[in-house]
Amino acid sequence: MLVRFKLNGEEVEAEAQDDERALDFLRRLGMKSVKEGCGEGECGACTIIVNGRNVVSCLMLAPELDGTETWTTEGLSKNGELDPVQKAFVDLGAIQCGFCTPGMVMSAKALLDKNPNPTEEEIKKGMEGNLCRCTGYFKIVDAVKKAAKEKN
Amino acid sequence: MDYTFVAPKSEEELLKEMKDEGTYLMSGGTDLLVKIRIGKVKPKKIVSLSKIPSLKFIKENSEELIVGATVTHAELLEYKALREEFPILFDAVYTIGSPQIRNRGTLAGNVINASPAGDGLLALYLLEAEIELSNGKIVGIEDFVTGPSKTALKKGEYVRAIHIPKSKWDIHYFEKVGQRNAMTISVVSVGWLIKCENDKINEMRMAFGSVAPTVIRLRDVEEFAKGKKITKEFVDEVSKMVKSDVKPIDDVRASAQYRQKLSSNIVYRMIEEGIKC
Repeated sequence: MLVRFKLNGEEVEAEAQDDERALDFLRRLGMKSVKEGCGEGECGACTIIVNGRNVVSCLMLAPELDGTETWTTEGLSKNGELDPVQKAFVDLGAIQCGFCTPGMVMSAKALLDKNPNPTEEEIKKGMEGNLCRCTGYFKIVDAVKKAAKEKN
Repeated sequence: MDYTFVAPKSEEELLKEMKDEGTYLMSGGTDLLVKIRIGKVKPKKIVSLSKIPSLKFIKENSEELIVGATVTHAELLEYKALREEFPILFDAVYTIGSPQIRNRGTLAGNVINASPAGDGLLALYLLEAEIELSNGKIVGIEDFVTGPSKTALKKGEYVRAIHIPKSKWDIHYFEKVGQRNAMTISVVSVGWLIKCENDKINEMRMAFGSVAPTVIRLRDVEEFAKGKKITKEFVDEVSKMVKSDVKPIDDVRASAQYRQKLSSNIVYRMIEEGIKC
């Protein structure tokens, strides 16, 4: 079916298979930041933001994106400037192999958009759906704290 | 293409769309799409409920809270009165999956999935919730869930809403023991509600998850608790009863023996946490 939606701020129209996952559809549209990790909603590597909420695109069908406002990491930087969340991850070295990073960034962004000043516990709860196999969690939590500070 | 997808815009359209053989209804899809991926379910057609406005509502009257079929866990948690009036449901739903799962998954989906490990389901057993079907029938939660992944739902029927009676409890407790804290399926889950009279239990409800084919209420314990004080001796007795009531199985998450031991030990939280009337 034809999917019409807003992707990273721009109106997009694209044909999707009925049984195509949002994950595969978005990658097909060039959004390669959306990674497939586990493919069953456990790891969060394919996290995107749909209508203001972070969701895993492996457990969503492409036709469900119809009519939504969807964001991937590709849409975060403005005029060549990284989003404060991205910048904090880079500055603090909260990236090891980098595979989980786009998903982490999207969850952090969704969290800070809802709760601009989260406690450490709230950060951990907000990020609990994103796994890092390199286990660099301390720096990731620090990066979310730093991003919150800079946004305020 | 393995299956087709439609998103009807009204319940009338939905009834027409769900007539075809091999049709599965989907709201959040957080369980269904995993089952399709592992080949446990092979739909010919998926009917999404997400575009039907009449299924997306939270209503309240003096007697109950009514949660529409497509209300997500996140939307329910954001409903102001939930934490205050149904803290056991708040605590249970708060532990489901992750933010990403809570943003898509629904309470009705948790019920229909009918997992013995369903966290939301355990709270609904304690609160004696009722399920409203599309044909207007109302079924108690314990009659609705008939086994693991099995419900009383018949062909052509769907769940419209969940009715949760209001009741005041002095003590509520929910705990899920998993292999880790985040994004985990329970090895054992437990919840209880207590009404006190002076320093004694007037009424208690207790439920366990992941220790039987469905969530279970422990009615022998509930009966025994009436008029008792919460003391070490009381909990010793409860622990023994729990041990014989639970009928767990071995699976990838834990052995039956561990689950049984854990179930009978976890009630000592009443002492550890200093819970008393």
